[in-house]
Amino acid sequence: MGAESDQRIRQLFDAAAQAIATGRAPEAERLVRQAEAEAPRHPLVLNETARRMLLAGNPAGAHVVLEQAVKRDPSHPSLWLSLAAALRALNRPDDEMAALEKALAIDPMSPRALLQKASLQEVRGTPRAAAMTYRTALMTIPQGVEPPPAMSAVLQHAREMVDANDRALEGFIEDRLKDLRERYTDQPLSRFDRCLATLLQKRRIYRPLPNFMYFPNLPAFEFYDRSEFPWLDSIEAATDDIRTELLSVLAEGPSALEPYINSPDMDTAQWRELNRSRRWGAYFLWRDGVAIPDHQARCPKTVAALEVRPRCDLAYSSPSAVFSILDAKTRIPAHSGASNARLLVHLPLIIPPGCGFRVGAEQREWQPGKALVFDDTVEHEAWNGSDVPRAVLIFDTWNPYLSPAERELVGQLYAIVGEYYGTRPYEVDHD
Amino acid sequence: MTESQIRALMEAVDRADQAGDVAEAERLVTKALTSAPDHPGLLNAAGMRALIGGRAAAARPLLERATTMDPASPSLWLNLALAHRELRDESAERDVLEKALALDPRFYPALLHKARLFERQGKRKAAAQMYHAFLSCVPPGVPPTPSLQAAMEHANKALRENDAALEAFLRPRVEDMRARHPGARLERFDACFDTLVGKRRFYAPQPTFMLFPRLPAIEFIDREHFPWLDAFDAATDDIRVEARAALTEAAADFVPYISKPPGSPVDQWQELNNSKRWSTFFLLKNGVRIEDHLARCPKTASLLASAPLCVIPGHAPTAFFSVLAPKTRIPAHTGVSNARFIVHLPLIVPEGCTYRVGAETREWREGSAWVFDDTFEHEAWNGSDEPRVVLIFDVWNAFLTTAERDLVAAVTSGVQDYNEGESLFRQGA
Repeated sequence: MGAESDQRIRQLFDAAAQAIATGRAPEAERLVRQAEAEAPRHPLVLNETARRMLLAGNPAGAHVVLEQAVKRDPSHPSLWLSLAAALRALNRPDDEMAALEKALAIDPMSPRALLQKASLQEVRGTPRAAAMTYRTALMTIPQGVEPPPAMSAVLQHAREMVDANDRALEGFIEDRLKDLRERYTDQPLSRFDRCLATLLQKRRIYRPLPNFMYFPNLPAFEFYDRSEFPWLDSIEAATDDIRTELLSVLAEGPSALEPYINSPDMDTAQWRELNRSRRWGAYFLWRDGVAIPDHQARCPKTVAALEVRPRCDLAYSSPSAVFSILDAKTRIPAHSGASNARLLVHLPLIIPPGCGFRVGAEQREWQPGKALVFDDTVEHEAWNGSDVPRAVLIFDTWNPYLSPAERELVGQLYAIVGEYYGTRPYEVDHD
Repeated sequence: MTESQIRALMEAVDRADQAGDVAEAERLVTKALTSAPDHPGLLNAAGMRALIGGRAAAARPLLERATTMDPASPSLWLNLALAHRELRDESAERDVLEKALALDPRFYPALLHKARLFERQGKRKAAAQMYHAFLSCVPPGVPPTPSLQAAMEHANKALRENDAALEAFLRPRVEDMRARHPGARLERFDACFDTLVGKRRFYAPQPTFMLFPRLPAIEFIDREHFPWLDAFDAATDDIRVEARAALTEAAADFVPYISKPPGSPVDQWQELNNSKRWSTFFLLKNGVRIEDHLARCPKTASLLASAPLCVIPGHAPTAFFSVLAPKTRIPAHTGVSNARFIVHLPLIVPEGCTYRVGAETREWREGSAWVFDDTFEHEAWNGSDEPRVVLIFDVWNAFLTTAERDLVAAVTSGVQDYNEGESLFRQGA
């Protein structure tokens, strides 16, 4: 057959597929008949003939036709797939697998071939191998692409198989780990547990994604181990005094607070609801590196308690310390901060039930007087599902993994970059 | 006029334009505007026709009127900015661009025009920040039009120039500060600085099998963690002699490093798959001793036997001579798990070979072993006319505790047993 005629038959089938997709079945039928009349031996025509035979309950006939077709054109994955389907109906699993391997040798990432191979592995009683193949098949479907509705049931099944397999694998592994876990009861295993949870697809991988300055080669945590920050003891001990000072500020009424987010740059879909809104209110003691003397004068015990922190001074940025008041039924959307060279501390003050805080893959409950230290360059979000406001004191401190020399250099770097731009360096300047 | 009549008229205008019948298009626009003089879409269409036709002065009042009738559309404000630009009215252009951005701070066409305005005004730093905002707001995954493509290229160029200017501004001051910390370890800070000024890309470990979290992620790990490697460095000549002997006497035992089973994706390995252009002579493979190969290389074998290698039943250690043929490149790829590191002891390194791990590019030096995390994307090339030979083996990630190593080994073998022998971790076929 000439290339031109081959091209013509392919076009007819493409048009027929198009017609089916747009609900014009008779038109599709006409186009297929046309192709049959023009090239009865063309592999695509044979494939179509076989497909109809399969639908009509004649897999043996389809098998004969398809064997001919793959002889004429072994380079067409859909012929091998149809052949595999016929062999499935004829209950010839070994031959079916051979046909599927041919299809996969041509296109290793064909979702249809992978799904059928996985289903055959299920039929053959190897559910673990089937789950691995289902996982590969699911990975071939790009994110955000809506698969055809005809595939949704099989994809749903694939997801269920993968999930069930992850759970079975988890049981299998935990069984194996029993002895080791007993041997190492006195050892910190939280990193390993997170490694295992990631392997079992129970935990997503999040990374620090600073929008200004990335400090590399540091161990990256969502929440830092409290034991790295012994100086937090005295701040936690002052929780009642700090809360009392906040309450006296709040007694003035809502006007004591300003919106936490307050910038024309923040009228984005993400922040529009909270921008310029006291639903997320703030009372700053230091803001972007600048002390607010009036506010500090009203909260002397808080300011005194904060003296102990390894204070980072970063031009246009740090220190910062703020009472953060999140209104009832309000959510702070996921976002990430400027640099992993500094960390944020939350000292929870007033925590109604129904509040939550997520940093990366970790979710924690605020407990009054129990400080949390986290890397705000990992995507994080917070919510107050209760009917009353939630209050937290937020302040920043150095990442403890930075050496004194590194801290000084980072501080200078902030200052110099700020000088170069004449402004806060990591926000769009609208002046 | 109903909305659908107006739409039909505007389509007729488009058709006339496409047919090259400018007079007819003009007539239709005028007719439509007469019946619907306040329709923002029509005003915009008429204004943009005038603007593109080189009649900015006629375009401006039409576009102004469009924004008055529909002040909530960022696109209409942007088009008005274009008319101001043609009329060289920079302050009006700036004002209406701000109007567009107030409605949508991430409206990237307005960010682009604001950057261009700054650039025309000679405000290079502000322009660079705005180009940066523009590039971060262009939606990914949509193939750009040629003009958007050109704008993005220009924006990238402006950013590179600004990064270079920023670096020139920063460098002497940073050097002064560095001098104040003699003896301090500053390589992390240097990497931070290079990332800030755009000279260093950010890479993260991307293991294909198992990610161990919360560890410092470092491309090449300090030799101070591996003092026992000194013995390997010192024995380089002996090891090289054994490697050469194997190459001449057991050439057939050097097998292609990449050998994908049929039906599995070959991806970037097309050229090296089943090829001896990258071949290996295994001494240890997936934790199994290759006795006849070890017997050929007694000195190497004895060093490996005394080294604290990574031990995972069925998987590790693996140790082999790796031979990369002349003019051959190993394409970028990532390893299975950051729970282990890889050691290279360079044995025969002709001129013109290089190695990149993440953002770090280094040259092999014979007799000088290094340790790296192969879950960073890495690639190698031999640009010379001679083969390059390296001894490669795996060790534990130095930051893992003994308990963590034991548990990782148990999980890795456990997954393999669960999958009835299949393992993503294993080396070769």
